[in-house]
Amino acid sequence: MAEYLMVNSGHNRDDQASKLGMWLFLFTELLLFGGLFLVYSVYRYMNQEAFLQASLHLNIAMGTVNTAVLLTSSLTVAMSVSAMQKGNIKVSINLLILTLLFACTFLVIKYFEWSAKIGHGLFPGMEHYNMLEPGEKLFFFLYYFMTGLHGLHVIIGGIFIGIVIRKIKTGKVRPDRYILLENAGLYWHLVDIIWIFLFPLFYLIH
Amino acid sequence: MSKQENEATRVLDDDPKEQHITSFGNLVGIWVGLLLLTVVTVLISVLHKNFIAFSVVTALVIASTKALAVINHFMHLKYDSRVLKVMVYIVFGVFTVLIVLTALDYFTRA
Repeated sequence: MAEYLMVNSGHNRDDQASKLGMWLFLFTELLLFGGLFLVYSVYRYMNQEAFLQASLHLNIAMGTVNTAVLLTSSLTVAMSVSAMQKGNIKVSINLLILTLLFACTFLVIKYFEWSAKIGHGLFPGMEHYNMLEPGEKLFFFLYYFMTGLHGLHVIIGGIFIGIVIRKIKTGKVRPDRYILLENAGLYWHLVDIIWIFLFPLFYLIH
Repeated sequence: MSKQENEATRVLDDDPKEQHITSFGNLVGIWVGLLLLTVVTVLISVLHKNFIAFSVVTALVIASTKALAVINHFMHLKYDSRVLKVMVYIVFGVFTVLIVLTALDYFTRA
């Protein structure tokens, strides 16, 4: 027994605390996006007609597909954690790779959406944008800022998952030590939750 | 890492409770529910002339339902320790109060 304690001294792990720390970080993310949602709600209340007109420029089909893509990627991460808990390392890695593919799909669709709009001169500073009403300008400014910030989170989440895949392969994350995988999953689900609110507020207001 | 070291980690692990594993079937069920709610939101919005007006409230109620399902099942909160649950619910509660108070402020301005 004493020998065991020596081997582990200084390396006591506390998965509960790791998870709690991750949640604390997620709360700061909630406040970051929550503040932006508050700004959006107030400006929308003050410019109802303009926000409605501007939202008609957004492509509902693309938004819906992206929602489905993100929800599915959340499913594959959650399944990956379950697979790891059951000891199926191979399945766990494959599900994470699938998640990364969905993340790329999301970003590619986002790229097409943005470039279509920028192609029509609808970006702050461009000709078409400058001719819009102040309320519509606000809508597009918030659209680019919030979906852009969300896209950045998708990229960061993807990198996080990539790191976890590496660590599973090198044996640092394994069925008896998988809190990093769980935390990467928590981050990814938060990115999904933010999109769950962004989608109806920007695309579906009529 | 050696087998001996593994055992040592287990001995010192301060949470010996059995870990709950969500089954694939359960997760897929939640996913189907989330997709259905998405379809409902989009349909209400696109066919809004035949339905009740798609208000912010409808959107937020459906979105919150989806978020709760993600938090409880995908994020595993339903099976997590009480500390985490209390923390998450308090933070989300405070955040809701913040939104509601700001909304009341703007809606009641002359």
